[in-house]
Amino acid sequence: MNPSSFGRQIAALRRFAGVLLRHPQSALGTALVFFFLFVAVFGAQLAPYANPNDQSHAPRVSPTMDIGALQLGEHPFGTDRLGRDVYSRVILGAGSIFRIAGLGTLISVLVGSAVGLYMGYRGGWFDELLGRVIDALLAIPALLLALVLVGIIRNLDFEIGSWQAELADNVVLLVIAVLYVPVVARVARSSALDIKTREFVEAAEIRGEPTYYIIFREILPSVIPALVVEASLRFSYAIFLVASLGFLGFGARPPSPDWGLMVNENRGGFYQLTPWALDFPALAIAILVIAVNLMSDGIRRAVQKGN
Amino acid sequence: MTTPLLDVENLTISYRIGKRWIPAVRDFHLQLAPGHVVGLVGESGSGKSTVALALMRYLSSNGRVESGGRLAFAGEDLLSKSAAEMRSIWARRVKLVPQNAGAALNPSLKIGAQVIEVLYAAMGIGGAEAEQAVLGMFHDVNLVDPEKVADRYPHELSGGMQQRVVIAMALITNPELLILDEPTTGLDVTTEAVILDLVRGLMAERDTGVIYITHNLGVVAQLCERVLVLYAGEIMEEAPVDQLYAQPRHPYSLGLLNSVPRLGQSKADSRLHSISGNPPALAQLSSGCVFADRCEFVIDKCRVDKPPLEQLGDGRAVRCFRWEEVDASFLDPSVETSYQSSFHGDGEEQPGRQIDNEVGDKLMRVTDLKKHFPVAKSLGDWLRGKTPAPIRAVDGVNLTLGAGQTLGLVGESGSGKTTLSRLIIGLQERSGGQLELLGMDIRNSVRERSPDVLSKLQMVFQNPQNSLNPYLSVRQALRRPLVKLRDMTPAQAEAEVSELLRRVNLREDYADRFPDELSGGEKQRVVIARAFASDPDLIICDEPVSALDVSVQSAVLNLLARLQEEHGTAYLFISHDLAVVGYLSDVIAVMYLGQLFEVGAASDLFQPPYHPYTEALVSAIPVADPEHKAERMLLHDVLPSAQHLPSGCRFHTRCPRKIGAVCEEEAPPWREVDAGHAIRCHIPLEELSAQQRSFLRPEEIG
Amino acid sequence: MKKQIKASASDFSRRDFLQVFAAGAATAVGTIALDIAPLANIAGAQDSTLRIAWLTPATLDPRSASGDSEIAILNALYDYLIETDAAANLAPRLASSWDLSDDGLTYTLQIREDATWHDGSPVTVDDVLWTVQWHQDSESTVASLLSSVESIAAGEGNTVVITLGESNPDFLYNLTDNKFVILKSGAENIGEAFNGSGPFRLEELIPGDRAILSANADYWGGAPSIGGLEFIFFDDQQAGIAAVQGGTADGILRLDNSSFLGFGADVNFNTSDIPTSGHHLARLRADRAPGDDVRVRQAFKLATDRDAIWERVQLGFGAVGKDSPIGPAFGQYFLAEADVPPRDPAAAAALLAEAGYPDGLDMTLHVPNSGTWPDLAIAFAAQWEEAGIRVEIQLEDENSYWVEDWMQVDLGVTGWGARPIPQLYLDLAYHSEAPWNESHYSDARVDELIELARSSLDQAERTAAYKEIQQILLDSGPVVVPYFFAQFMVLASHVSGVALHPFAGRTNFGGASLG
Repeated sequence: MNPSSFGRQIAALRRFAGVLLRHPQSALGTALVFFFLFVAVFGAQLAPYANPNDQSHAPRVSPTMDIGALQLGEHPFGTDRLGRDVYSRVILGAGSIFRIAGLGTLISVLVGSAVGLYMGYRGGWFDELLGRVIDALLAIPALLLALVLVGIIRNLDFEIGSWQAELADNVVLLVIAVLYVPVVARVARSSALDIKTREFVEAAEIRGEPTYYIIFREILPSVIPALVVEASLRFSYAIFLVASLGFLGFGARPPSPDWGLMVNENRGGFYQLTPWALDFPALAIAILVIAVNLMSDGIRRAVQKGN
Repeated sequence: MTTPLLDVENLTISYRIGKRWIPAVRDFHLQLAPGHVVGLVGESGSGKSTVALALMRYLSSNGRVESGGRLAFAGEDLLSKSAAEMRSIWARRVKLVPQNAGAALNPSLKIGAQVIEVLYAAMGIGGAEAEQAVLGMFHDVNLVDPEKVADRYPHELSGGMQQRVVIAMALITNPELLILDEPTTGLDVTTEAVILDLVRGLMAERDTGVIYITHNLGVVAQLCERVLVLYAGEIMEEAPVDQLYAQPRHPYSLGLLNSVPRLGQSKADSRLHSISGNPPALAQLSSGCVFADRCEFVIDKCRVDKPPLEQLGDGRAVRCFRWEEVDASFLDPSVETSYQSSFHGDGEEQPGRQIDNEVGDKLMRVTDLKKHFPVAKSLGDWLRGKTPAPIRAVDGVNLTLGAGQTLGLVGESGSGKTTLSRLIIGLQERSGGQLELLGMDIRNSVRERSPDVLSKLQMVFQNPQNSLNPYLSVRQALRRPLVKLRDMTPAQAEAEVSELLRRVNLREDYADRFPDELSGGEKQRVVIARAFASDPDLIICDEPVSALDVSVQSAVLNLLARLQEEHGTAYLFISHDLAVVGYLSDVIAVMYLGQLFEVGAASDLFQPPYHPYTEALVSAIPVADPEHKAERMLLHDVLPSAQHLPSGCRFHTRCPRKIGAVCEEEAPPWREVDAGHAIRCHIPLEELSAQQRSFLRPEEIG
Repeated sequence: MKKQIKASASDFSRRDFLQVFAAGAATAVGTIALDIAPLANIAGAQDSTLRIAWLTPATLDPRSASGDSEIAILNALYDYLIETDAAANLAPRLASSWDLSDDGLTYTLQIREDATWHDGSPVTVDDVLWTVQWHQDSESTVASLLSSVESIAAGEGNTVVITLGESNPDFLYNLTDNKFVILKSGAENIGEAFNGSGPFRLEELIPGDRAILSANADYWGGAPSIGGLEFIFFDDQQAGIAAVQGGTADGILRLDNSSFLGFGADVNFNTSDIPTSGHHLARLRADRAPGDDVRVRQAFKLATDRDAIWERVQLGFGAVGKDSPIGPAFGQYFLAEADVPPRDPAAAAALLAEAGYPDGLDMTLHVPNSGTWPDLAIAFAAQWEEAGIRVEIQLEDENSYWVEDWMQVDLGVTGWGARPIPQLYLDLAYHSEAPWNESHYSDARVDELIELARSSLDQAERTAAYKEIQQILLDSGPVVVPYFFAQFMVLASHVSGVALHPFAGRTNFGGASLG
């Protein structure tokens, strides 16, 4: 990378950030997402009790947080039925949702764009076949498909410690990746279909460039803006999906401080006893989903402006 | 002149960029009487479309007319009109025909209904009366079978028909002022000729005032009485059309006129004049003359003071300090050596007949080349067990190209010339025929070709905007073919990049620029440099200058001519602009519906006898010379579909010189005019020659 | 001996057990039904009608009925021969009294003479014998409960004489079985037509909606003081709770601890809870490593704080356990005096090290995925972790887990429903040859004691045997029993006179009154 192209990228990034942050909503969304990201990364340092399953506290303590006095108290969000500090659990839960949704999205974007670009560029039977498969997959509601996949994989018995078991532990992450590969592939494919008719691609073909070079060097850079928008959109859906699966008991397993799982565990009779144990993780999910959506709106706007 | 229809004085139009208002058009003025036509000429960015919108008070919200100017329409001050008053004026009295007719039509409404709606909204005429009026109008704009057209949707019409519908839509309310904004750009010359003819006729009939906006000097010469030359938002020169062409007084007008090749002008005779540099950015205008940076007559005073628009009398005005010295002799054309060329006839009808070139080495030989696109079966086809006829885009083409020659390929869009070029370059796989390069058989697709063959064949595309990857720097774009096709080390490639840039007249520091930092002409130079990087023997140029402004176009043509001279590279040059093709080509092939109909040396081709199709193409060219008011041979019908080709001679459905049943029944023979010039027609050459000579005015027969 | 063990094992399906301990295990998982369906009082229901929310019954055939709501309807419409009270003592019902011969083999039951069927005819000994025959003909679980019976016949006066092949001190408890309601001789359409002898008559059964019952004015025990009963059916417990909160039902039985706790603070409701013998436990397989080492088993016991778990998972309802299935609900049999060693993770870790696990243990804890079981597993996991026992919680689908897997896994959480006698638990799960010996436990002394308690007619001897078993299990057994769960009932404050039964469906509403 030569200095001028590096400078251009810095400038482009600046422009992008400028547009993104100019809108109050997307600025707020972005700030919140980064706040959550900070919490996710430094959760272990931020949480008063680093062990999310620490039950040494009195159970069912009401939140001690006093917003007016700006005081957190011993258990800002209270303790749950088992005597676990809800504040710590909410903080520690941020990591898993970011890891699962983020990595899942990342994998789906990487695989999906490679597949989609290849489909779009080469066309032919490969495109035809995969196109049908993708259409079929997209016809099934994402949550339903996720439930079926998680259910199947979870019910397979693997030896403890084997790689299959390791894989099954990350089943939600994988399911998100699998689920969104077709969606991303479609976006990448349609972008590639547009770009491949551009003359610079034909110029590369005339030079006898191999397929991988044309896809990754000539087509990919022009598709990246669309992929960034799609990735941010996928990320927001992924967060929602992770929370939904956790809530339905198909995601993280107890005693994980997964937000969706916490909402599930504290429903029903427990909601009357310890409403805070449900309210705070539910609030966290809601705020994060909205924040990511606002940010992804902003990203879309910024990318469109950039083009 | 009585009350002028339009009286514009001291008009300044600004656009908001960021938080500033930038004056895009300054000190504009215009007088127009009913029944007269004023041409507004300028390159992209000159502000001509802005003027059109401002005259209608139709600027978008980020544009405004600055106070202090006058804009009077039929004696009324338009600037003080309310929005509602303007709407009623738009509805009836002032009409705009935009460049892209397709976008001006509602895709979901039938043509007839759309025009009736306009009529109803403007004059309250509806029902059968409106229908009659619309059909009458369609007839007036030469739409064949008006009832059928009215019953169609926009997408079912060709571009030319759409444009005619939009003109009909504008004229139906009998407006006092009609503004045509590049109405024929993007259309074939044959279609353009028909539309220009139409506009001319209608003006005379209806006493409508017309403002015709274009970048094409030929069109202006054919249509207008007076011309305003616009540059960077200012009027450079105003003159009656014949005077402007005879003796331009502004260096910019002079440059423009001389940068267009005239029909028959050849690279062998002279280089084209070109205006160096680029138009200034709006936000960075100097206090001096806006043209100073590109002017060959520039003096120090020009850079400091803005020249006034000086009235010269006779309706002439010019904005230049040195207008008295401006003279064409100031520009010096240079003479080049000529190249020989060759062709051979179509082998399908006359197998074994080859007219080979005696001079120069044979570079490429195309034999019976075909491309048939299969058409998907419809349900009806399945039921009837029929296989639909394929689209025969290229249907048996024979060509020979000598080393270092330029073969020009002309024809309307849809004639198959682009497909032919893509078959040769290998971007599409041929359905039949052979392709030889330097005696080697060339494989079908680029994927199957060896690096050696790949390096010998390169291409320059029509649209420089899309020819360069926006994410790669000029250096990266140029280095790749050097490494890939010439096995250079990175260090060698680095040195060669500078050399390539130098050869296309770009400074070395352009290597680190990205496409969005280049103007259209600069991009095309980089594309040309890239094509030359592999040191090819043949470069296919598919409309390489049609997307460029006139002043830039000539520089690129000159560049191509010079590089050919230096490297001995052959070109296959495709263009719809006959003058451009004529300028650069040694041999020209005329293509119609997938076949060649005439092949000949560039110097012979524009003289009778020529094929009736060639004749139509030639006569359709709007020549940039107001004296040239030849009768036109117009082709009214649209190009037939390449799927259902006409029987016999493929041109018979449109041929104005059709002689009878033989044209419909038998494929015409090749007739040789002289060595290297052949015509494929049933009419004997002598007869053809006689007819065509009598059609021209005597003084034009050279 | 063996034969009887097998027989009694098949007496109870897992479903029966699961239904019984539902008080503790009542599921909070599942969809919250939004149809709080029958809101308005049905026409004809009078102010003196007591409305109780139940889960929707699946069947009312006595041979297959097992759920609380199913049994509750049978219990209201029919009579049992004998029933148990809240303290698991036998109480007369259709059999007004009984005698046991000295050899412990012959029971003589006096059948009430003042009892009549809803159609007016008197209840006779023939009806009892017909009911027994009906069960035996259809090979129901009641028939298997009576498999040790050699003969059953009419005796002198209005008596039934039952002769056993060998003595069984707990035999009469078999007659209290939930399914063993007495039917009228020659009854047809059983499960659809209900000519019972119980305190209430069926007025209308609207499947999936409600059962409307009216007081039986001719009931031998006296006419109920309420005019009628209305059992309103809900598809899940939360909907039933919502109905009670909303006032469309007067009460609900068998609910989860947390919902129950929520009612506790509300003056509009009277709540009652009683401890049961139902319990949850963690168990190690004792026949292979690591559970075959007594030190490992002791490490698990030492690593567990039963009080903390009881307080958290059961919210302090029920009773703390002492690592055996015999709890305070069994009164005299319970080893109340036993000292449970206090939790000591360090000592537990030391024991593990001694047993060859200096770095602790990594195991999978299998847990049925419903009710409070996951919470129990979470609590265990957190406590054990400090002793170096790191478990991964594996939630198991109940339907498949109970079929096979629960008997195989090394470490699992199991729930055992409330039963009126301790012997059942021992015969089913702790004898080395017990059919559901899930921990594959084999201790000669324990086997000996179980067999002794099963047949001895000497009450003191039996008590001593039960207590010794408890001590052995506490010291070295393969199970950790942290608590016995409670049974709950919530009634609107104007309802009185209802005594909650450990099996909620056996709660009698005959004495209820509305104030």
